[in-house]
Amino acid sequence: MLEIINKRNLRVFLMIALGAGIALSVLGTLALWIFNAGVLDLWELSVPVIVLVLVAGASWFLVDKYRNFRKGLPLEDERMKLATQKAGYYSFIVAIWTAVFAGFLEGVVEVGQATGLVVLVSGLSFIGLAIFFVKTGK
Amino acid sequence: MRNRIKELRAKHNLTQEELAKKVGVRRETIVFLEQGKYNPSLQLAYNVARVFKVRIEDVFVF
Repeated sequence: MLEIINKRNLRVFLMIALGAGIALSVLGTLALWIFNAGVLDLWELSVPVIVLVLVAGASWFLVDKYRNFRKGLPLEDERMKLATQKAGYYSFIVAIWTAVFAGFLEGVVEVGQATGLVVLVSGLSFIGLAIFFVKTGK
Repeated sequence: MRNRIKELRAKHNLTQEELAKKVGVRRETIVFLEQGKYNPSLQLAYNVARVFKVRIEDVFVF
């Protein structure tokens, strides 16, 4: 393991380690929140599910990068960049339409919840689309 | 766009991973290139052709 870490790719290794640390911290915080929350209603239960999906998606990218790092292959290439750019473009459109939809829910949800909805839906669509484009080669 | 990457790779006795390292892309990109599911940039097409010591039009068939 140590022999593949040199000065050139130390930054990459630190980035992967930092990402793994953040993912573990998020999961730890989530676990603490669930254990101290007591009884959770359906709306509250959706929060850990969404967070778990987001962390799982981000972890997929981390594991993928780590595999390429170990083999000495680039972590990102032109196809990967195109796939993430395309996913970003589509999730931006999803975010706009989610915001429009949230506008119709005036009185049902608060402004903070509507903002959260836009961020979560666009985040989920970005991760889902990015994985789809990376895996299908489009 | 069709290509002869798989054929040329076998001729040069290269694995997908070795070719990926030589042209500086991920192995999956070589997989999708061979399957015709990804159209490479001009730079990548040039790099692939240079590894096989042929012209771009000898690798990629338009």
